[in-house]
Amino acid sequence: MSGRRVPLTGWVCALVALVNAGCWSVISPPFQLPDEPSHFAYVEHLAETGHLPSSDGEKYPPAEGVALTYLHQPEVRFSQENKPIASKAEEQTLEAWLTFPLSRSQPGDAGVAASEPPLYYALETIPYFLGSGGTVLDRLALMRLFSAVLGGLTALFAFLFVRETLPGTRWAWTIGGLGVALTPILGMMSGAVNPDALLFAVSSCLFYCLARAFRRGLTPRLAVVTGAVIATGLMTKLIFLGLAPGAIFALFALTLREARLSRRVAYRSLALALLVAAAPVGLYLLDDALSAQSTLKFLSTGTGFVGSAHRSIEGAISYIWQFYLPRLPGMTPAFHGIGGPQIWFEQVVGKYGWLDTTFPAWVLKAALAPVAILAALLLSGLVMSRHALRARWLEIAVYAIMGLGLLVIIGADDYRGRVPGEYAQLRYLAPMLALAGAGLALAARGAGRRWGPVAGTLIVLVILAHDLFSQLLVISRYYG
Amino acid sequence: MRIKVVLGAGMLLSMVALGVTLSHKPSIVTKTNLSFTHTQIAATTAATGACQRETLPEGTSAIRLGLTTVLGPEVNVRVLSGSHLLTSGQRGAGWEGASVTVPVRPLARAYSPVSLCFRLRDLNGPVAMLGVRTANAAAVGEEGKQLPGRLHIEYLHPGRRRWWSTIVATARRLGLGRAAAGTWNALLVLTLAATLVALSYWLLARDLR
Repeated sequence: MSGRRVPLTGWVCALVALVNAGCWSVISPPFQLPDEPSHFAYVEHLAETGHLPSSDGEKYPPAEGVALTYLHQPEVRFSQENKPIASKAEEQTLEAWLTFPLSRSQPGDAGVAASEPPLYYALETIPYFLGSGGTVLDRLALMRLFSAVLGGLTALFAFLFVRETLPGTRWAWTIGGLGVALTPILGMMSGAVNPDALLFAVSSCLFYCLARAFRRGLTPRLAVVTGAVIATGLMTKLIFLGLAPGAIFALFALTLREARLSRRVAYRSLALALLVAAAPVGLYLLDDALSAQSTLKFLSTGTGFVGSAHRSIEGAISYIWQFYLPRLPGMTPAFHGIGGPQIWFEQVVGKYGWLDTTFPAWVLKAALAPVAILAALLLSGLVMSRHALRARWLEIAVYAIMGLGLLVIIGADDYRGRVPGEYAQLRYLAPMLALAGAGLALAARGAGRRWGPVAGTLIVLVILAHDLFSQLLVISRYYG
Repeated sequence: MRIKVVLGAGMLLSMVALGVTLSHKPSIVTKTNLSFTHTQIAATTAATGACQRETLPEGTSAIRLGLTTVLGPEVNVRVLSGSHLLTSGQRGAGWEGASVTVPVRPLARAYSPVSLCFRLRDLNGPVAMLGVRTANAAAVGEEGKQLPGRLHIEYLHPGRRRWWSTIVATARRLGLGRAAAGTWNALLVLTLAATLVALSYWLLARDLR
């Protein structure tokens, strides 16, 4: 089997993810996805002026502002009792306003998006320009479509990652790749204007590159590609910093392994990877020196909590633990009336739109059964593969460090934020979708050689049903 | 063969689940005490409660309160006629948004006036109460202190129409306010969803046979 060609299954998984994201992009009303007005404003300002947004305020350009107003966006956001426009008359008013030649560039606010690195937004200027002859809604639709393509790439890389990690079980690749492609969170966020779409694709690609390097060796070419992927991630979203330490650790570990064969090639590969990966930091510093500005300011505003009042390392450790796991004796309660596992379980079951759209309470209870069965199958799969896993402990340690890094950075953000639970959003964990795909494939294998494909088929069907019923839920919320 | 049986059973189950879902009668708002606003009338960071004079419509199965937060606290609702408890309900912690819907036991007839009391427990952050500011507020806090306005409250009960009977109207609304407006957007969604299912089934049947 050639490792170079992507099998048809990989492309179909990508197509499924693209179609899924396309479907989500149509059912989600304009600007009713997390922070979409801010991300759109960032692209709009960048495309129209060539400059990054100057403020994190939420005063958007008039062209976007009238769309938000006449779509009733502020009233619908967070409020189940309110619906988007529901009559022809309202639509005619909206269309009339959208045709006015209003400013698209001032005042330069981009809300929560303002502190994010510019790569995704720069790429989104392409569909923005393609739709520049149309209205705000035309541009938004094209930009969402671009995100959907990135969703397809995420599924493709997740499939390739599963292929590298479970090379002996061909049918399991389909389970992992298709399982990821049908995940509602991938569909929803890849159907939105949001840098998460690129972040998911880049993160999945990074996992694939590392898995490939562990299986086939870190060649100079793969080292450059891996470095470029890390650089792309650093230019996409700050949260990628959570994955970076594990990836750098992997590069050093792989170099030490390769050095047994050829020290020169191994160290050259490492140097190439690190050089390329660090390029964005160099570019930011150069830009700062030339423009006398502080582009890296987001590192101080976007990370770190130690300097904050009433914050401490001990407090952070306790908080981050409770953010995901049950509280241990002696820990000061970080949450009241609800624990970290329940918060995340509810996220997995589904929170859509501005996270204000949820299934009825009975669905949460019903979801316990499939989740418990999946966990049992995964455990069985891990036990059955224990010898193979032991032989690949270093690779698994790398994925664990990457996952842990991401969990810590999300938990730390929540700890230093003013509102507990603000960062408890499933999309922040979605950079680990490739790992989730491998987990699904391993769970299917946990049913044994005879029943594995059946279990895998059932797993994918459950995810497909979850996705379709989630879309129905969103339709009922906004249009029912 | 086994995979095809599983796929067939999966399709059948999905169709049944879809049928049951579409036969469901969605809850509708029967009455609201005032038009919805995002005006904050009060906020709290500690466990608290308040009562407000209201009219409870017949058959109310859920009460929606204008409360907003990120990681919502437990909300208990009691509806009293004098000191007699008519109905009550509870919503566990973890909700978020600009309103919280609390299911209550439906009553056979309407009651007026009633005291609608809510109590918040286990707060994880500030909870804002949304409504309208009024000169003579009818909402009274636990300590007997009057709130500076009335809390927004909606009463829901199961509608008379099933989901499937509203499909055309839903499809029409889905097509409004978007790039290429029109009911064809609903057909596009249907086509995309069907493609999604077809591709997934084809791939599973092909690779796992």
